[in-house]
Amino acid sequence: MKFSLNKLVIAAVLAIPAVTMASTGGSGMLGGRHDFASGKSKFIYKQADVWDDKAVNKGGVGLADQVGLCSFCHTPHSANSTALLWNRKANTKGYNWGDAATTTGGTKLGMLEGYVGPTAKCLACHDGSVAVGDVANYQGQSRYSTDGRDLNGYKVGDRALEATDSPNYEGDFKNTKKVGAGNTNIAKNGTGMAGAHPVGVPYPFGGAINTYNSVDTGNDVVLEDYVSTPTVSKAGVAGVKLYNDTGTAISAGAVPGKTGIECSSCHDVHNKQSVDDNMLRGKNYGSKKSDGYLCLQCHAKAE
Amino acid sequence: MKKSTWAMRTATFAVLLTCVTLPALGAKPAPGTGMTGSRHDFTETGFVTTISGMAIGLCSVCHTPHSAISTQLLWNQKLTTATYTWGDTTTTVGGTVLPNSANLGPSTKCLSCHDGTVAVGDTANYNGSVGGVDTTYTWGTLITRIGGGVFGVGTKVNGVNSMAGNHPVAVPYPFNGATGRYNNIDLGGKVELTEFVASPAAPVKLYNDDGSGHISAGGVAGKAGIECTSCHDPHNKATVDDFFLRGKNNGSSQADGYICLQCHIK
Repeated sequence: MKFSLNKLVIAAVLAIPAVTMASTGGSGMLGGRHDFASGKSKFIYKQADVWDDKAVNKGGVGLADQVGLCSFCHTPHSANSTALLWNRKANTKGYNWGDAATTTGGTKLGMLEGYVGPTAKCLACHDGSVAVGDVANYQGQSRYSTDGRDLNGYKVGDRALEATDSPNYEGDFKNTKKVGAGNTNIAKNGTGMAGAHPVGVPYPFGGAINTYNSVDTGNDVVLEDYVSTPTVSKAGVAGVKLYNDTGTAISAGAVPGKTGIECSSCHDVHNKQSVDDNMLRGKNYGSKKSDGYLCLQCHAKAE
Repeated sequence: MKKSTWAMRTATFAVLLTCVTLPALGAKPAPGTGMTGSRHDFTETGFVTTISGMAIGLCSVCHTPHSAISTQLLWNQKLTTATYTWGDTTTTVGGTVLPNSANLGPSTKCLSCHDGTVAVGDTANYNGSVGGVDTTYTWGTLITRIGGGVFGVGTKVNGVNSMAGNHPVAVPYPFNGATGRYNNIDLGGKVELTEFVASPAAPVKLYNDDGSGHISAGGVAGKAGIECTSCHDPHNKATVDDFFLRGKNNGSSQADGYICLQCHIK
């Protein structure tokens, strides 16, 4: 019972935005789904109201306005990785796609531990195994970090795994944030990334076989079913962002023969180049590529 | 106030339901022109729309980028669990045993709407986390249930799911004029091999079974078979006639593209 009130309040403030409060595509970080810092935040700032109560007892203060807009993911010093000055607990897992080893086109699915593409960073929050608030915070030197982890124990996507009579039960609603649910070896639900669109896989850029993340476009992939050169996503312009595999790193931009897709091909995590909610680079609804419907930016099925 | 809103909703519901049940009034999109405006387009541009009015993308009735039922095809529609009988017969005249399930093949996905047991729009929609869920159709938003008429393939007869009167699917095809095994079924011993085109031309689509029931596109000697999607392209891309047909519905020669003669030599 010790967490009951706090947990309930946290559950309430987290549940409501997840269901009812959309964020406007392209409006930037502030007030968006990835704003964990400002007074407009849908998440952590609200938690701080709860935290104050707890913090007072420990002589601390709430996290609101104590963590910068960027700091949940990036830090200027003591970063976990120099590239992107990453400030989060790294995901230490590989992923499989559960019920399928390949796509129907024969493209191999899977992401090894230590994958260097942007997807690995997304999954550091969205695989259901790492808490959003599990931030390095100057490698743990921050005065807020110790109890901050406890406060910010909300994991993206694992809420509904708790039974209703569990002390960790935080509300009766669905996993709207669920992306991956486990890892290759100890997969929660035995599924890993099952049911998620492949990422870290080649895109048939130029209507040709590409190699990406050491995977070739599958033999049965119907190349004509893909837009040869997808529109490049920009602020206010629906499209996608393709990546290329240099052999040692993943870089932005399509390069013939070595193009692939990542989570960030469809989502702009900073909500700048997005045109719809959920930081989508295309519209979530619609029926035409020219209207900006996201799926059709790559999949040539409509016309 | 509440009452009138409810009355309006009910009226809207009824009007939309009528739209759904009388789809033949809309203009038909040309074959091969893609999904938009086709019978498989359930957005506002489409042939039928959701009775809930829930906004839905062109792909989302069948596919979803996250929380799909199956990773392959990112399937978003409740799958049929029905087993089928074929009415008056258990084999073809050639002796090929008719299957009670399409198992892992594409026909299972077709039948998840077209067998009359699962409603179109009984859609997972991010595992039910997005709108439209009610107590009857817990997986999503009911659009309509295809049970009869030309769009219904399977029907429920006396509680039994029946594929009676339908061309066999999920059965072996005598690829290269030879026998084969597909969906755990051997080609019937009495099949007249010379009466089938050895290697049907595109866009007719054959499939192969790797032996474990996993189906891939393409005819492969000894393990070729046919599915609903051998004759129909549900995305209206590789189609030349209405009903998403990969061949013409009318005609008299293979060269003309008449669908039946793409496989049958008569």
